[in-house]
Amino acid sequence: MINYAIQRLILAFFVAVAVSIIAFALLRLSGDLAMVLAGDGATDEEVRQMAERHGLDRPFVVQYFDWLIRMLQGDLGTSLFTHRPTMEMILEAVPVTAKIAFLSLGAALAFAIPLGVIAAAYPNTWIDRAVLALAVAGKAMPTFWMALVLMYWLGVQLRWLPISGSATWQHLVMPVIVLGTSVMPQLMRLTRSGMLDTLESDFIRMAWAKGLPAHVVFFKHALRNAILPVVAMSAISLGFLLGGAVIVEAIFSINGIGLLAYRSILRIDFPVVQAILFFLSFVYIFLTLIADLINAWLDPRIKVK
Amino acid sequence: MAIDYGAPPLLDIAGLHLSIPTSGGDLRVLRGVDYQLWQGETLAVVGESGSGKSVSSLALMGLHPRRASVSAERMTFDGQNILGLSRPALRKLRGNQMAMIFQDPMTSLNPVLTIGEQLVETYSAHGKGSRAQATERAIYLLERVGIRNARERLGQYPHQLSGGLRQRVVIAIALMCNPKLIIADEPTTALDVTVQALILSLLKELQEEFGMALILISHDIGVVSSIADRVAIMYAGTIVESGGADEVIHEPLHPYTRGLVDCVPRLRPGRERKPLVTIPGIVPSLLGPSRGCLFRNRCPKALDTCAMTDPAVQRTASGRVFRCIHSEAVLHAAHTRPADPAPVAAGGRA
Ligand SMILES: Nc1ncnc2c1ncn2[C@@H]1O[C@H](COP(=O)(O)OP(=O)(O)OP(=O)(O)O)[C@@H](O)[C@H]1O
Ligand code: SF4
Ligand SMILES: [Mg+2]
Repeated sequence: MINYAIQRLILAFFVAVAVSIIAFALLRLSGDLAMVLAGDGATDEEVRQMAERHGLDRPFVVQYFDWLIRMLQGDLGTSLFTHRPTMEMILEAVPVTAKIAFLSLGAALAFAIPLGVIAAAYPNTWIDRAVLALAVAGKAMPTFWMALVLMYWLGVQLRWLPISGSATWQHLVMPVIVLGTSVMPQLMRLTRSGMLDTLESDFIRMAWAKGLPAHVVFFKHALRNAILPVVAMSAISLGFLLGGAVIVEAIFSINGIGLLAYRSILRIDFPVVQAILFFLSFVYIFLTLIADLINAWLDPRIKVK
Repeated sequence: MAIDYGAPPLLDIAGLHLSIPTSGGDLRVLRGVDYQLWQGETLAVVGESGSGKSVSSLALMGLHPRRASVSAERMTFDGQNILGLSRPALRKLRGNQMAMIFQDPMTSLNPVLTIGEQLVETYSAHGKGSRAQATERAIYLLERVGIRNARERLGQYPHQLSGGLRQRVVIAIALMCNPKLIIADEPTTALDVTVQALILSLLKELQEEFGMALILISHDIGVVSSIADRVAIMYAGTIVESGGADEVIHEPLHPYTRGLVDCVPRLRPGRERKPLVTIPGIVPSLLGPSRGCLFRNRCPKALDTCAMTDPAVQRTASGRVFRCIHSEAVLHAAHTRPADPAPVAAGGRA
């Protein structure tokens, strides 16, 4: 297990380096930043000065290493808009986004796993179809629409929940419902299909033949095998929730990472955009690493490979 | 151990039918299976692939596909009517009173649970005793089935063991609750030839030691001939012949049994006929109802009447049972003829 973990860690490190180079390059190649920064109608001289000020006239490799060294020292640059350190802005935005993301994933899994198991236990019956219909409905509903419906219903009409901000836990209920619903269906379907495959296997027939009670067969014998792809998918979902919750954060006025990214893109605040990009890439890499380790712990065969 | 044939049989099956609904109609997989099994006895169930050997034993344990419909004139185990049992009652029998050993040890153990856990849980599920007792029994049985360092093996996962060792583990699991009946469904087919004989003799040894009844399923009559007390030959969902192993193998009555025996050259010493690798012809479709003997398209003794009525079950003086329109005397005479000085060529039977 330790060897496997070290191996995964080294791999994650190289992926991180590769991602940082690619992302850095993409941002630099996506247009002449100096021209954008100088603004519309700027003279050539102004553009040149802007490039010099931000070091954009130097060779790409130099720019990359310069940025890398500063980043390793915790300096992600200064916002062009607020003139505050980028790091500070990100650290302010992360907690609320992370809280919502983890709660949403937790809620999604709390529904997805039991529903997936039940659907697989009664395949092609009305139970299975009802669960699938729920999944399709959850998937088909656009998040912005669901957010607005909930806001109108629970917030405006019933006045049960506050509709904007993130001050109390009540503020988080609707965002968590919306985001949880958006990631639940795929987790549910993966659980179901994984369970269906596993339930066909010989060792499940053997488990029945041993006279084990149904809950032991389903949860101890089948689910542990069926859950492996769900773990990997959860990591991806969490990454999506941490980075892609722009619309939901905007609707509920939550000052999280998504909203910060969205605003920074509109303001062409490229140090912030770049920093968020790297932050999210590293979060993804980290989550994948965690998922790999959980899978290795669940499946003893992985460790020997 | 002597078998008391005077006692009521441990397992008594008569007229077992099972059909599975499919898009093309009902697949009548079992069309009247009858056999009996006494405490301490070994019964070999032999037949070609698809004849219903696995399904009939799964039906015994209530493990047949849920959508299948099952009926039987009689299906009792240890005096209880299995068909009448509730699901929980059936679960209490499975793994406890009757245990099953499946064909492929590479896939019949759960890859993510330790060997120890898979042994112990059976014991616990049937409330046989504490975890510590279960662990002690697991170690004892692992050693008994020939696994060294049993205590260390408990913490290992299936992928750390070879196929032969895994099948030994599966056998130990089957023995955990000291069952009255073990059903071994082709327990050696997936193993190396060198390991096959070892596993079979181990099974036989354990069966004698623990005094349980054993159903040994195989498609190879040669493999089981040496360890079975009785043999039941299965074809297209029915038992076409059953009786004492020696008698059935050395003096087969039913033409199908005869064909099976001829496929195994070593069972017929002194005969210089070319071995038939398989019986010619194809297995009939099991879809829908049928009339007449299902073996008739491949039977060298078939008459026109074989297509008209289902052959009746006949019983010989020595207790053998077979399903054929011909009488014992006719079949016996027909079968002994090739032993005459001028053997009939194998091709003549096709
Ligand atoms: N779940 C199922 N659904 C549909 N048909 C099935 C199912 N299980 C078995 N059958 C059919 O039942 C028949 C008997 O199958 P069974 O597995 O009992 O044969 P077998 O004698 O054990 O053969 P083998 O030597 O290949 O194991 C076959 O025709 C098979 O196709
Ligand atoms: S009943 Fe007819 S077809 Fe069937 S085995 Fe006997 S002789 Fe052959
Ligand atoms: Mg079979």
